[in-house]
Amino acid sequence: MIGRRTHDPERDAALYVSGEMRSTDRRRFEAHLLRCDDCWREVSLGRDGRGMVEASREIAPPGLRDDIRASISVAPVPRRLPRRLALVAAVVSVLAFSIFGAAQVRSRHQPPPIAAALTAARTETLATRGPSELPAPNLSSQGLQLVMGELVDLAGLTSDAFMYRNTAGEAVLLFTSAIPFPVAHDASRLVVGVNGWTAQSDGMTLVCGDRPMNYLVIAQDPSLVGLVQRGLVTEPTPS
Amino acid sequence: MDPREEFLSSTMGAMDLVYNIARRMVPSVEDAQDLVQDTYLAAFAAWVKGRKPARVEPWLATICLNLARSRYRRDSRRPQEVPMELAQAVADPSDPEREALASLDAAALRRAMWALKEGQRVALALVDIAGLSTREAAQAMGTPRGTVLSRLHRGRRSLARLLGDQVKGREA
Ligand SMILES: [Zn+2]
Repeated sequence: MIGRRTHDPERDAALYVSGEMRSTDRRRFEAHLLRCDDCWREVSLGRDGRGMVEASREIAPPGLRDDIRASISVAPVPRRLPRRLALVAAVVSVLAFSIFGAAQVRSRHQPPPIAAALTAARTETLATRGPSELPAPNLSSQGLQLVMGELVDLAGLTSDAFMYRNTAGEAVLLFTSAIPFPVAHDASRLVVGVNGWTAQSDGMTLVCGDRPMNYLVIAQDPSLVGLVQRGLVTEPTPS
Repeated sequence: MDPREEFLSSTMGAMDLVYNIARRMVPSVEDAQDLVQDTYLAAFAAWVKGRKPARVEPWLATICLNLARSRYRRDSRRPQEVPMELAQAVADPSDPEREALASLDAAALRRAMWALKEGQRVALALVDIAGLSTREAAQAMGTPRGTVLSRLHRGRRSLARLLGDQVKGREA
């Protein structure tokens, strides 16, 4: 902390009081505390404040636990179909698809990870496996606010997914992965700058590239996709 | 195992934490209880679809925050306005209310918490009460970690200053 970066008593006090400094940084900071009044003051205030927050902890009302149990006990659980029924259901849905659904569910033609990413973008939901371990790329300079960052499983491809919104509330999804994403059906290669492709599917625009990391961006509005892509190339990634 | 039992046994241990977060998102006890219940229902709906998180605390915290933002947004009074007067009452040692407040520590603490900006209050609830790491809190709040660190410290410092006199007065 101290020495490697600019002097920042607030940030260092926050990290120190939260117990999130690594041991070498902590020792260095503790030595620094003894001769820096600013840091000493911030740490004292931070510690007092944390104590007060901890003291403000409340116990939930006794009936709440029972209320939750009661409401979960009547909440619907989707029943798993027995194997044979499931097969019949699949056949029926394929038939329904071929008769009614061709236009709406085009993502079925896509490689499974792309189809999963498209579904996430369309429904604006991420089937999370936990929070992302990666710091989210900061795209605020492009007017995009981070909504969530999750670790997700895209049909077997592990990816970090970040959802952003613009001021109008429109969502754009950014997926990053250690493994390259499969190429979408009917994709056209990007010619300039990065090694990647762009495609249209399910009324969404997709752009995929491999610099500064393997990424896939999906949004309904192509200009949002462009913003994220520009942001990735120009932003110094994460703090 | 029945999915309901599996869900409850995995998540009920975090209920007090979720309640504490809810209490700092919406002003009334009744709304906080509703928010906790809705959080558990939403979490269960995700759970039975196979979304089982590695750690339930940050997962439930995120659901609670999102629900509070979308559903209870209209009901939550801009917190920095009304309770600011209350906060001054807490902080000003010459205030006639001071003695009454000194005997109502929990209420004073709560008023002081509500005098903070929402972002600070939420960061404190997530990290200092629910025990999330600042990285987990950043994910839950959808902000960069640096923002969480700054909100956390400024929130702690404001509380220490607002309530510091009171604590010293009691210790003396
Ligand atoms: Zn210093």
